[in-house]
Amino acid sequence: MAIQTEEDQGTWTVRVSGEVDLYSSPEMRKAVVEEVPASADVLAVDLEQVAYMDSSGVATLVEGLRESSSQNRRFVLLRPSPPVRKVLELSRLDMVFDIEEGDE
Amino acid sequence: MTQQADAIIEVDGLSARYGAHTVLDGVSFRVRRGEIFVILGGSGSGKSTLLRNLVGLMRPAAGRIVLNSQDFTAMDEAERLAVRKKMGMCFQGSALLNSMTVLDNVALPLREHTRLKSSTIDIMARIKLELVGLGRFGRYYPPELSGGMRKRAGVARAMAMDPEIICYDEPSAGLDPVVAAGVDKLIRKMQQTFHLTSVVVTHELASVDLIADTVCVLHDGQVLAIGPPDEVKRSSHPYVQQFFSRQPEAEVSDNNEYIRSITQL
Repeated sequence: MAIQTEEDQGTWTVRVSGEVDLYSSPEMRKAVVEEVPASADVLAVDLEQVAYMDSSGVATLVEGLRESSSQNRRFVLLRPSPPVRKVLELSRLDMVFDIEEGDE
Repeated sequence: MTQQADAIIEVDGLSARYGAHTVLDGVSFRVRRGEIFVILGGSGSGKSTLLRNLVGLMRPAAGRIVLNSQDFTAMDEAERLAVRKKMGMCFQGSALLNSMTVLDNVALPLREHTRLKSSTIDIMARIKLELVGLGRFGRYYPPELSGGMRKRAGVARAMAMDPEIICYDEPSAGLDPVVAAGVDKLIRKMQQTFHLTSVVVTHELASVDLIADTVCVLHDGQVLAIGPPDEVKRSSHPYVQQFFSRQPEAEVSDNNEYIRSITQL
């Protein structure tokens, strides 16, 4: 798994690629929960390049959503790949997230 | 052969012994990725021993087990542990800890084997409980649940680490037929939803029709028949016929052996 982050005009974007599993999720958690700059009013997690995600990845996204809500920050998932979509649907959490399919 | 090409578990010539007593004698079969493989056998057939070997709780006396093209039997303990983390085990008595809530029972493998934060683990455990239909029962303690609910909680715990393979030891033991059918339905649901390879050890004929893609009939430590349920039911082997028609076993007694054992006392 690889993580890239950038801040641009109040949007903190986290680009995730590769496999998000029990062992790599803590790294994604840092980017979507712990290291989000206080100045960001939007947190966008780009999931287009994610090849695999297990329930630890979904749980981490839920944590990011919770934390963002408590900070009045918008939390959005960008272009979730088919494996991500599948695991969100299986855990019946696809309705919980704000999902954007379009270009940036 | 396509069956070999997509095999996730390959068992070749597996033998197991307790002291001088041979429990498994040259057992061989292949489990395809994503199927429900039912190991059917009566008491003492060796099916639980087979399961213990598959999940690495026992080392075989002979033969090998290949998981995901890796020789499980040749691995050292550290490598075996890494493989075992990708296998979920659902024990016969559910093996839940009565002093912990159902949620904490499901969370336990994650707390033991990962470095995930407690808050992440908590959400994962809730997702798993919802999957097995126990979303509202996380705060309950195992003794407060019915037998069927405890089985479901055991399934949720076996699913905690997102396994590739899940093994069930007598999942319907001790349940009435309606509740047992519910557990079978859950096994099928987990397999269909996650394309989860499932190995089910049972003596329940009803489960064969409800869930089996492949049945393997085990008797006296040997495989008597293997294949799709319809094919296995047509097997001409006398014991397979006897099992499927539920005929009682003839009482076997070696009189000489009996006399000898008595007189030598």
